[in-house]
Amino acid sequence: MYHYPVEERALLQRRVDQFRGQVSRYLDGKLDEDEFKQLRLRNGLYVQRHAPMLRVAIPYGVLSSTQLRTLADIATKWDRGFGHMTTRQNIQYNWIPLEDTPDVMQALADVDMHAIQTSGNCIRNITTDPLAGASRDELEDPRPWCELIRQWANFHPEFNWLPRKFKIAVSGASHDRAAVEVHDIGLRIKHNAKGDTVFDVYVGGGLGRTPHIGKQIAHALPADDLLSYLEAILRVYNRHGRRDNMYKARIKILVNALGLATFQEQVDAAWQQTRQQVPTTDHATVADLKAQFAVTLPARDAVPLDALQAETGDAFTSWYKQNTQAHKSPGYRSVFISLKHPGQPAGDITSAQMQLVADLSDQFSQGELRATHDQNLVLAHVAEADLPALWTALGPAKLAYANINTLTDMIVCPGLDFCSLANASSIAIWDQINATFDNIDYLHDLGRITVRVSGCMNACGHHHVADIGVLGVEKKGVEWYQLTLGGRSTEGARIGKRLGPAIAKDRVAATVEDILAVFAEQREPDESFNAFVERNGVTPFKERVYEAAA
Amino acid sequence: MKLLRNGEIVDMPWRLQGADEPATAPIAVPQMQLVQSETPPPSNPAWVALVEPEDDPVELPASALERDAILIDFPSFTDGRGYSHARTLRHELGYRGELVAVGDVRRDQLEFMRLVGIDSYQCEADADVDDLNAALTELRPDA
Repeated sequence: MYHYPVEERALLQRRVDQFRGQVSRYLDGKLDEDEFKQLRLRNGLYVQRHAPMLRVAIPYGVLSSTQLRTLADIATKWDRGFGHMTTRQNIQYNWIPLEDTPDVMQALADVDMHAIQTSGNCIRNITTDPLAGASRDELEDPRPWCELIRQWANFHPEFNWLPRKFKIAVSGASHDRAAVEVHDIGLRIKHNAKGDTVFDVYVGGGLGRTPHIGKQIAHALPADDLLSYLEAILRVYNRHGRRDNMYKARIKILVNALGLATFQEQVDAAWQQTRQQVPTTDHATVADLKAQFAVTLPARDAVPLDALQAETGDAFTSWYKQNTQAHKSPGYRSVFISLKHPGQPAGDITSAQMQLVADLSDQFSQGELRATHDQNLVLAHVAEADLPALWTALGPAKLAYANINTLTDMIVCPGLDFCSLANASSIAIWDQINATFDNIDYLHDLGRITVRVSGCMNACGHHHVADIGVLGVEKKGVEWYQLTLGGRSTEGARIGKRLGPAIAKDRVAATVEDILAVFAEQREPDESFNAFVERNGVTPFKERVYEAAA
Repeated sequence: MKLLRNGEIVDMPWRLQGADEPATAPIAVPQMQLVQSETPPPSNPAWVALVEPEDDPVELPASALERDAILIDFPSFTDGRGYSHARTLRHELGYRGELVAVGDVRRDQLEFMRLVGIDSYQCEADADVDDLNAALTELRPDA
């Protein structure tokens, strides 16, 4: 597993010392509120309804068991015994007192972790495929490139005060599990005819108030030029992105205002400069990173499901089918751990669960695990023969719920219950849908359906790119929910279409039931929900939903 | 108005618009004015260019690049355009003179300003000079 080199560790320590100084100057009244706000944001610290919220970076979603134990210890010692996984593959805490945050940073730095640029108008955590290095459809492990970009982006002196936040995602497989087309910059790794690594570059994607699908700005960008090209895009954005209106400040607005061709010309002009200034990719560094990210798995015999089933039973089979995926190495599978158990808020994980998962990753998956952008965890390299033992250990901790990629594997933002921006509760909708759809067999029959809930138009729940998106709005002090259908974040990403007028709070799950009834009645055999909406639009659903309400 | 320059706090050597520097100090002329006027300002009194966020330093008249200093304005500490202007001046235009950050320049931003090629920084008269100097190398002392 990759560990930061000694220079990166020294940098992290200097960052902890710097942050400690900033907090102490603030508490002494030597740093004003506005300035401290901007400084603390660049270290993941928000002020929320109850206390500061601290967002800790999990670069490209990869954690060691040691790091997860530290996250568990932080939750126990400084928080209320749990953390919340985010859609940028990070973790956040909601109850850490401000004066303790420097000590938390120190505890993180001791295991090569930090909160650098997890908020603020700067380059955020680089996200990627949670099955990196394990999936069968992977062309190249994206993590070495993510780490190269992370080192470039962290404390980039020119780009720490951008017009708005900036998100980059990288995918190295034929199936895009990193949602690259809805990022400020999305990178897809390809190999050219000579077998060299190149990148297709997408720009200007994003969700929020004005969702946009990214546009391809470069085709087969040579790996040598990766950082100089990113630097050129960021320079154009830093200079020309709007700063007069925070809701129009993301790069998507600039790209759309200029048009792709003009934006591209400006980037190319800037690139002529940045190429002189940013060193080309150092292939020795990349080779070294690749070697460190690669795992050597001991040879294990392939064990078919039938054989495993014999020692377990139906519940195991359903978990195996729903929560595990084929691995590139025979004899292994990747295991998703659902953090969407109905009894617990979506994406939350307790200290005890973290400790258990850390132990299980040591025992069964090379001491390494992943956070996914849909708020679950992955043990990427589990031998098939070990699956029953792993399943047995996960079950009592409510970590073997077999709902991955089903309706109840929802992305749910913190919403009105925790977030000061929200207009409506998200957790109430999570509870309502779970109460209505509690038959796991029915969920499996429906197949892959994504439901995502955002408590306001900032869209942290990514509702625009869900099969069924739920957006909380407030009208005259009452919570209402707008539904969108047919969105998608994988390759060929699409923004969902609005169903119609907003739905009353107590009718959301019932409306989802109506929608699914239409789908069940009218779908072609094996047709996915997404394909159904693409074929039919929202009309058939509209008729049912608003007729029922009338 | 003061300036952190070569590790020391000194008087601001240029007259910024509306500021109270002596009339003999060289004036800082906004890039906009330099570009719009047909002839650059006469060299007596001496002058330097002031690059503002909306400006493109590539359009500075050649005479501005011959002066000993160029000022970069940071009207608000959250406006990061000046960092790109500094990079452009150093790398694209090859400017070797003194680059000076003026405006809303704060202690915790000095290091990033240094790293993009800025040499001197506006500061408060009562600032702690040792603390400002330490701020310049908090994260990347070797860069």
